[in-house]
Parts: sequence; structure tokens; C-alpha cells
Amino acid sequence: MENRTKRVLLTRFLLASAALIGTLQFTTVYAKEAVQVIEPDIHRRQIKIDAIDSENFEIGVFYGIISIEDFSSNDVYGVRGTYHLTEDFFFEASYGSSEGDLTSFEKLSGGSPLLNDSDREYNFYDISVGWNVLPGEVFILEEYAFNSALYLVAGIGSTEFAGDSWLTVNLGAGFKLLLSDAIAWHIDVRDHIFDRDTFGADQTTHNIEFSTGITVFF
Amino acid sequence: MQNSDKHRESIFGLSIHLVFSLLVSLHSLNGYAESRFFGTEEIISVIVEQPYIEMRTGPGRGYPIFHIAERGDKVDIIKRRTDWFKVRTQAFGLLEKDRNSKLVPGSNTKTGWVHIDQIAKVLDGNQQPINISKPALNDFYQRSWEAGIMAGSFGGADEISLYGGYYFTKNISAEVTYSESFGDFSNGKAATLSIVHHPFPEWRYSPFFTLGGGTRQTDPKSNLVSTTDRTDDSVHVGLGVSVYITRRIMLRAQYKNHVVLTDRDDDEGVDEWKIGLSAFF
Repeated sequence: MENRTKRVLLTRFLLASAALIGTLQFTTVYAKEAVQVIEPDIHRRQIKIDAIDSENFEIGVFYGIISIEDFSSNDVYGVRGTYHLTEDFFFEASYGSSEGDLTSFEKLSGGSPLLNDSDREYNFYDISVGWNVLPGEVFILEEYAFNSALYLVAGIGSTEFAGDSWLTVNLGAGFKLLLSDAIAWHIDVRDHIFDRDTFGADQTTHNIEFSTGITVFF
Repeated sequence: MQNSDKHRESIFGLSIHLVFSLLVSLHSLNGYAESRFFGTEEIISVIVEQPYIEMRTGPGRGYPIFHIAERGDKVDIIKRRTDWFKVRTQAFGLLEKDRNSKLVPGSNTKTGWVHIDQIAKVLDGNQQPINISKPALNDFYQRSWEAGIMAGSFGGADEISLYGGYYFTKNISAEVTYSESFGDFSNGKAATLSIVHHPFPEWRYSPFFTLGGGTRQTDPKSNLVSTTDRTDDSVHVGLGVSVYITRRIMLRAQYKNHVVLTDRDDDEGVDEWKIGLSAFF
């Protein structure tokens, strides 16, 4: 009986040692390989400045009112994208859409309309240069301080209205409030100026847009 | 009367409060969105080498300096906006009072904006200076993308153009241009594709030659009678110059001679002059 126990224990011991030796051998092999892998000249991790998240682009939507000269005021909506070049200057592109209403003449005369419905669609795009002329900070109640800027923009673009496209100059000013580093709230006033000869003689029209929007930096 | 005024005031205050707490919670949501969608960028840890760097409350020269990180301090660079870097000082586990006057560990990090001139002198983890610089003339020589807006004249009509270009080599680039022209009797829209050769890419005033073709749509003015829109193919040759101005901005002036391949007996030659501003990357 005792012998049998001894034998069992011995077998187990031998098995265990064999397993242990196996593991050790494996470890040695592994370690040897590892030594070969790590070469003496350590590759230094280079910091790549491009890896830093740069947030110079801003994109968003706006909604407001545009007064289309002779064709009354209507709501306007669109998208606007900005590329910030420095803390002072930026490029901006907008696309917006609205619709011209009836002119006073059309309303009063009761005659046939001067434009058909599809020609009343008012679509514009423009590219502008902007200047953050009054950067600053806004304080609200006791807890809140938000970065802000008053900016001026000027640019050129095209307006599609009354069946034609018109070269359009736009001038404006806006105020932005940065709700966080990445979200801004804008209030904008823009004058879209173009010469239009829809009614015969060339006439310079001022189409003033008053809008508000939310943008996101990325 | 006074009482009700006070009451109104407090309601007003409360509503402002509510709006802004909503905005603040938008804040944290925004943080989530950032990490969720723009999370591929790294946060880089650097060591301050100069006596100190100034941390401001906002990314602009006018924002107040509220904290400094001293030589030897480790800071994380979180993100960049134009010339400003948002950095966070690393915490050392000190206790600090939070909003409810509870002591919380490790929240004593400061986050602020540091100008590129100061960030440029920090060291990386191996005590090596890191290379941060403002975009300059050298980047102009090695640009691989450019995009811009131009204005000018297309055969006497006012014209505006948008374009984008990609450089295959320093000398050869391809460009896509969209133009709109506004004439007395007709408007035009054109899309063109060009191959551009830059013989001297390492000049500040870099000339180029261009060759390409495209399609042009002519819309006669709607107050003219019995005219229809027409679409023609066109080819062009041209030359111009790109001038580095500052940062990522260049001026570009060019002349192109277009030949519009009309259905009529004669093709139409049109001179186009344009000048504009572009950004390069």
C-alpha cells in the first residue's frame, strides 16, 4: 500500500518536473528570441506634430430672414464653412436658399405675376475673407465666461434669382460666441449686393440677410 | 411692487441659469462627440524647457494669462487652433475642493492655451526638442494641395472661379476649376480640368504653364427672346504665377486662352484673366 502511494507520488513528481522543465525550456527559448528582438539601438519615438488634433475648420448651418429687394422678406437658410488661417483672419464659404414673394405691384394690380414660381427661388453662394476685428470674452451671470469675437466679412459670389445668375458682392458683420472650444453660436448681418436688370434698366439691389447659426469646429 | 420686481428678476436669473447649464451639458456631450468622431489624434506629452510657458484662457493674444507651467513640468498638448495649443498640466494627485466643497484627488490640472512660439521650445520624453513651426515659405515649396478663389474677366464678362489642385510631383499638378461668368447678354458656367507645369517650384514667385479642357454652359439672359441654353466643349492653354504671401496663403494671377468648340462654323477664342487668393497644404 505504502509502495503504491510512493509510486503514485513519484509518477506525479516526475510528471510535474517534466512539465516544469518543459515550461522552463519554453521560457528560455522565448527569452532568447526576445533578446534577439530587442536590438541595442532603441528606436526613439518621434513626436509628430501633425498628430495633434488641429481644429481650424468650422462648419454649420444658419437660419434667418433675407429682404429681397422688391420681392419682400422671407426666411433664408443655408450652410456655412470657415477655415481659420490665424487668430485674426479666416476664409468663409456660404450657400443659402430663400424665395422671393410677390412685389407690391403684383399684389396691388392683381394682374398676372411678373415671375413664375421657379424663378422666384433665390439661391446664393459666396466666398469671403473675414477678420476677427474685436475678439474678446463675454461674461454671463457669475459663473459663465465665453470667448467671443465680432468679425467683418467681405466677399464675392453668385446669386440665382429671376431666371438668371448675378455676380454678387457681400459685406457683413457678425458676432460669435464660443459655447465651448468646439461649438460656436453666430449672429450675422450681411448685405448681398448685385446689379439686376429684370425690370429693364440695370438696378443695384441690396438684399440684407439677418441670420443666426450654430457651427462646430473640427 | 418692489417685491414682485425682485421675484421677476430671480425668475429671469433662473431661466438664464437653466439655459446655460444646458449649454454646459452640451459641452460634455461635445467632448464625447469629439472623442467619438475625431479620436484618432494623439495627445502628446512634452516637458517645458524654458523658464516657463504662459497659459491663457483662450486661443488669442488678448486672453488673460491665468497660469504658468515651469521648467521641467510635464504638459499634455490636447489640440491646436491656428497658432495656439491647448495644453493641460499633469496632476500630481493633490487634493482639491470641488464645487460642493468635497475634497477630490487629482483634479488640480490646469487647461489653457499656449502660443506656438512658446510651445516650439518644449522637449519630448527623450529630452529632444520637438519641431513645431509656423507654416512658412518652405511649406510653400513643398505644397501638395492648393485651393482658392479667383476673380477676373472672361471675354469681357465678369467671372469668379473656385479651384483645387493636387501636386503629383513638385513640378506637375492637376487642377479642377469651376467658373461662373456674368455678361450683359449671357451668363456662363464652366468646369475645366487642367494639367499644370511648375518649372521653378522653389521660387517665391513661381511661374506655371497650364493646358486643359472642359465643358461650358452658356445661358442667354432670360429677358432676351427666343434663345436657348447651349453646352460646348472647350480647350485652353495658359500661363500664370503663384506668389507666396504669408503662412498658408498665396496670390495667384493667370491668363488663359480658351477655344470654345461651338456647333457653328467657327470656333470661338476667348481671353480670360484672373487673379485670386489661395491656401495651400
